[in-house]
Amino acid sequence: MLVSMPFMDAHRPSIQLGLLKSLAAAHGFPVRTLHAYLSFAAQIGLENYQELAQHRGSMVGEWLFSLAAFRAAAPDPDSHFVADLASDLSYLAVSPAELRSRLTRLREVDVPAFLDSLVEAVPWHEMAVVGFSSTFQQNAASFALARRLKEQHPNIFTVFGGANFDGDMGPEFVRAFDFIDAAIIGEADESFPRLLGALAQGSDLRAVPGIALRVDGALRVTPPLPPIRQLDDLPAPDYEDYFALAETLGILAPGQRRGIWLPIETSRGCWWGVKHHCTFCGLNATTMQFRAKSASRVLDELALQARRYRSFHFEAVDNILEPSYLNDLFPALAETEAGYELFYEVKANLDREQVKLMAAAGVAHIQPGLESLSSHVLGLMRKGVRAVQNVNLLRWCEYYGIRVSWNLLWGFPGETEQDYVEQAAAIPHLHHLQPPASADRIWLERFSPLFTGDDTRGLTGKTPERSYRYVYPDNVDLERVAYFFDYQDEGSLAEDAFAAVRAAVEAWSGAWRAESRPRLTYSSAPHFVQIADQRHLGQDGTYTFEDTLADLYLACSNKPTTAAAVRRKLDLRLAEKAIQEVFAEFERRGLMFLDGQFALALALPAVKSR
Amino acid sequence: MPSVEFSRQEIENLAEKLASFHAELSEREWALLLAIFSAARDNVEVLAPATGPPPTEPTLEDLREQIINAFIPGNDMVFSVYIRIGHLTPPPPPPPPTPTSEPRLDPATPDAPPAQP
Repeated sequence: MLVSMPFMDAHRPSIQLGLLKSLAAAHGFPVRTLHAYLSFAAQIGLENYQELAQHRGSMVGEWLFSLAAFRAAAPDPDSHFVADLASDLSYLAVSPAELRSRLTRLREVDVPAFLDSLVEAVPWHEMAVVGFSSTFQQNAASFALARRLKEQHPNIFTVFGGANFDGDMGPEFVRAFDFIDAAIIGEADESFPRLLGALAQGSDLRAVPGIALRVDGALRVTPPLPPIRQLDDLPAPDYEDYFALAETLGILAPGQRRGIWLPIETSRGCWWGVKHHCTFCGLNATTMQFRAKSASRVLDELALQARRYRSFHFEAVDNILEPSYLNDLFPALAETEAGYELFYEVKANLDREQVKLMAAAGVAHIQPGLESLSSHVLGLMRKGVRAVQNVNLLRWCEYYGIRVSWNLLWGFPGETEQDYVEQAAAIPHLHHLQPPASADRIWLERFSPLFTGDDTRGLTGKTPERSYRYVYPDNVDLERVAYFFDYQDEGSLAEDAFAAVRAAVEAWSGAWRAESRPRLTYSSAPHFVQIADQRHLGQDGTYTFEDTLADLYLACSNKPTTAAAVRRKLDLRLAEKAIQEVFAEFERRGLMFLDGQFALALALPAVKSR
Repeated sequence: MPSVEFSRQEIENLAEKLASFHAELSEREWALLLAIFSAARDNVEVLAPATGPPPTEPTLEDLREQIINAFIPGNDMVFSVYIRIGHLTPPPPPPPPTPTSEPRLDPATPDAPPAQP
């Protein structure tokens, strides 16, 4: 049995479980999957559950299950967590009393009831192995169930894996908790079937690569295999158990399968990270090497999964788009009338034609990792793009109807107050583009260069994020199991340096939520352009430019361009410096975004999607 | 007939010589000569000069001035055009009424048969 515990998003099947089930089945091991988070969601109410599952701040989900997982050893039996971290938990309730009431009821009533029913509902005695996949806040719930299962069925072999067990984290958990028999460190595609084979044959588990286990009371970690290279050889994930349970529990009504975004893996690793690891990114601890499925394999998998599960929505779990898909997969999808809608994480240096192609291929939602509107800050984080490219991507995504999820981050060593003064000044001109979902200080993640200090100045004064202390017992080395860290870096800017940007982003988000969205559009004829400015309520107006001014503006619409390039293209006698002066005049009116030598027209064509 | 190019100077020289014959020609001969030139005019293509005076390009100050005057408040782009160019041009006529039934893309093509179940 493979289990995924709270707090996974209830509207997603677990790709970890789905893939491992298919892999094990291919090796002749009958496997069932239990998306147990659905049961907890049904028990406490879907909306209540999703509020907890979708938050990535303090470890409230872990804390809720810590008492059940660690019992007398749990560090916070009296629930000081609620008062101590109240400011981080304000999204959960309106008053401190309500917050305390809600969380303590969940912890002391709902969680034990859920675990009891889970132990009763499944014929665990039929299981030889129970595997837990854990990412973000799934550890404590998984530990709580594993502990109960081992107490009632001591012969069950428990194995853990997932991102929470990568690097030092997995071995430390195996050392600390005897209800964990083994953990797979890193990719499990080969290790997991080999572990099942060794258990079935009764052979020495120390021969299984890439696992942590206790041997005679001592921790042993076996050497890992290199990451799997041929992703085309992997089977398609099996999500049947997810849909069956979701429909049984009423989380998914009949006919609603179309609303589920099916996770699909088309690549692993990060080709950009291999060259320049973004300083804040803690993904791909041991598996940065980039590998991708072929376009034909992806097309086959999309068709297979759509037909199996009756959904045309696919969420790629990839960290970055395989560039060759712009040459083969997306043109092929654009030619079909399949009707898929896709989500991808992408690098932000896509141009207009590429965005247009992706939209035609069915890419409806992207996460481009924009992170900042300052080229200086983007350079500090090694993103490999300029701010003007970020803005241009927002423009063409808005034009071609692709939703963009992104965050605006700060807190990087070396940034200056001026970086944020400039961003705060530019943001009011961007109200016609999609705003960031959040604007806040970076989280310090294990494995990131800011954590390790590899090839960059790392953040100093780091300690495990404070809520871990309310979750894990004393025998756990938090330095080895924490993924998020607090830091007190002396070189960082003070919070008030970001106040203006924070306020500007709030205004941007507010404008975007208004009944009538802000717009900045242009209509053009040869040597003539009119720009309708409807970005700010009560300040609507029209700019009309003819001849040289129109030509200069339109020359900067497709992509960021320099004055020198525009001068050559238009064969102007006007000096380069004079053209830069004109660009500056456009910028003062919020009609252009300037970034070093580069200029970008901000208005979008009034005619739609050509 | 192959095309032949003549310069403006050649044309002016010929016109001067023909003008000198005017006194020696009768009214009908002169009318015939004009008729010949009139017929030929329809087969003549006037070419733009290969080189001419350089096109004028605005200065930075011109462009700045245009930018300053480019904005007109309000949210009706069409209205702003009439004001900007300084003419009291009447607005365009209203669009023709929408037909009650949508025209087919190709009237000659019969309706497609219903989809097979």
